[in-house]
Amino acid sequence: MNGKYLLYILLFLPLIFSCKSSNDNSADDEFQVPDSVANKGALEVSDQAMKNVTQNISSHIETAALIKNLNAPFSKEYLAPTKNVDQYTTNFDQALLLGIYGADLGYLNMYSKTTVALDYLSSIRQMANSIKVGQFFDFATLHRLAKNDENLDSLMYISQRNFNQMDKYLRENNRSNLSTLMVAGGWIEGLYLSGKVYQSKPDPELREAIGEQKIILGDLMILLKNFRDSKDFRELIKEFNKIHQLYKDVKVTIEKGEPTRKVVDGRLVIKQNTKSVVHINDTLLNKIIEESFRVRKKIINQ
Amino acid sequence: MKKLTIIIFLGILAMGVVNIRSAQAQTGEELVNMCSKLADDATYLKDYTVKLSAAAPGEDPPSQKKSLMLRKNTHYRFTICSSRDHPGRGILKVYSSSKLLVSNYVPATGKIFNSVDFKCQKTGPYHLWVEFEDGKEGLAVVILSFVKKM
Repeated sequence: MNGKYLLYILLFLPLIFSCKSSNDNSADDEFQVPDSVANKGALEVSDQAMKNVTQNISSHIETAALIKNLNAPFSKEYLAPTKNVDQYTTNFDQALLLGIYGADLGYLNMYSKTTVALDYLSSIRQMANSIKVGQFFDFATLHRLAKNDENLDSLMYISQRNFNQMDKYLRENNRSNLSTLMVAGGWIEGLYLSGKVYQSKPDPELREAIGEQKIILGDLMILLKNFRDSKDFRELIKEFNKIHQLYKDVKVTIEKGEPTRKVVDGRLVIKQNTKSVVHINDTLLNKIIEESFRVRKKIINQ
Repeated sequence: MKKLTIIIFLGILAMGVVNIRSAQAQTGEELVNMCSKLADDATYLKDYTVKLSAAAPGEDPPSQKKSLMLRKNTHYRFTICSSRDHPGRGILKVYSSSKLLVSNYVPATGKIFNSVDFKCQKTGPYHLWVEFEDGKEGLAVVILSFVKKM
């Protein structure tokens, strides 16, 4: 009889072990989210529609790659300061700053400025911990890679992936308000970096990149307006709207063409021949740049 | 006593089998890490995990849509990796508005490429659809990576 009970216990043991192992990566159980951090009220745009809009709105790497591609010299002066990081005490500010520092980290990584990046990694960790997504930021590995100036590819991969994981976790856990702020912070910093570089090295490609932000800002405004029940969001929308209004005079036309396909070294390569063309004059471009500087300055409270 | 020893032995063996199976099962996370390496010299930007059940008889293959923003003058790479634990091989399709622009599947030859490069000339929203060959059940990861500015 005792042997029979033992048999039942032993048969159930594997189930217990397997259930435990499948839950090891569940962040939900480990990190309780205070109500103050969650979305409040009903969202005007559905979660599904939000997912459709948010993916890849602001890519830190693409902006930094464009700047580096122009052979623009690196400047530490362009970066948001990290010395006053303790002054950001609300989740609203912390999420915005997380996006800003993320864009700066992309710029630093692109120029292999790993020593400066150490400061930004610390600030990012602090902001991420504050909004309860620090579990996705592999600070120890990133810090080691940056400190030893080794394997820059891994540094870029892990940092970009960590930001994606934070963003995904926030969106899937009823905190898309913070995810949107991260995107907004990354976007304004990307525009700021582009504007700063353009002022020192006016280049037609950068000019077009700044102009085409009209398309991206359109989506970003939809996201931000989804949270206009919040006073902080209303303030931010008001500021972003000033940039958005200027962008209304930027024209984007489309020249149609058929795509071409070929196989190069065993890889299928497709070239799009439909082109978007941005039309923006110098006065308008400078106004947009200056307005973005003002908004960014207000956000970082510099 | 001999019976008890056999029971204990079988129990330990069962635990081992379950743990080995869970250790060998390919997770979405492992697929992302593996697939990003397959993107070669391109820089990782985003990953999309898609898991779909098999198509019901007579129905179109299930698919999942993701939206993404791509930029002009940028050379991107889409790499798709299908889990070995599921029968389906992933097929990706990228649309601009309703026009199919990019796919790793070439209907004329039936070939499915692991990755496909896209030289983007128009900044804007694009839609990525993922389905599995012949509507089989599957798990796949798509990596969007950045090759270079053109």
